[in-house]
Amino acid sequence: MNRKAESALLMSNVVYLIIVVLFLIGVYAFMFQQREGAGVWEDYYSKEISKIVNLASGEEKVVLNVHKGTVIAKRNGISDFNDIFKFNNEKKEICVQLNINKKTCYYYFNDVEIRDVKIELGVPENLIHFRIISNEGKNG
Amino acid sequence: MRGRMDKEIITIRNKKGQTGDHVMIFPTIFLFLLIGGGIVAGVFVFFGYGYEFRQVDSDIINVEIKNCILEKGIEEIEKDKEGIFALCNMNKGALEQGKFMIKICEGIDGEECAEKTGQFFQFGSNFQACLIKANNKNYPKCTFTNVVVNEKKYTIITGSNQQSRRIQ
Repeated sequence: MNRKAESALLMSNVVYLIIVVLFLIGVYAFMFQQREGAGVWEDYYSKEISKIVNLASGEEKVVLNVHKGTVIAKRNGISDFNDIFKFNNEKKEICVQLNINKKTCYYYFNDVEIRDVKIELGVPENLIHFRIISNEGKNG
Repeated sequence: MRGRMDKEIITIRNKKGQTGDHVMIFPTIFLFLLIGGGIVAGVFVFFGYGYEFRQVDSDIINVEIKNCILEKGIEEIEKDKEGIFALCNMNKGALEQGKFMIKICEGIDGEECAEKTGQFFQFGSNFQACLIKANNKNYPKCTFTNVVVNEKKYTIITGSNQQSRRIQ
């Protein structure tokens, strides 16, 4: 006798539950992305490394302390530290990944090649080593 | 008669119930927006709005161009203007992708250089945006410098509007 009312009541509860679940998923996804401030540190490392590369002239060997970045990456489930800093010599781009799902990339304009990228652990903190080799003279 | 009255009462009661449930959705959504907005605002207050780096990029490229003119000579650039990238050891593709701007003018000041077209060298566009002082994230950050070569004054304007890209 009262089925219509029950059905309407059920529907409104289902709609309410869907909205609650969507909201919680959205909040969780947002919080997950901000875990350990990974995005902020990715931004920082990619820009600072691009600055070092842009200011390089000739051949240079660079050693940087990236301990904070490696700690964040480990907490966020990145097991291989060699995946954190990736240089793309074709695109002239540095990508930093401190989270499993996303990475932050930034261009450098200096026409150089980055070689021998290596992470050294516990000396006493974690360091990244790489060599900057200028392409000067090769293009012109 | 009684049956019909019962039916009417039920219908009226249902209508009231349905309206009540639907109206309740608005305070709920408002509450969610309030909580969600609070979380987002909290995160931005804590972490800030990103690491502003465009001015640094613009300054570096300006210094590189200036040093290049002084070391290699303005005549070399004049001979082959497109060859400035190889001459100054800069990657044109990365400059395009990174939304960098370079303009070199001969014998005029920075403001005039930014506004006038057809100058000594130009890479990129909308240099007028460099003159806008508003703190708008969409406008590039620029650097203006002068260099004197062979008793001629050259104005160098460089700009950057590169934002870091968060990708999957």
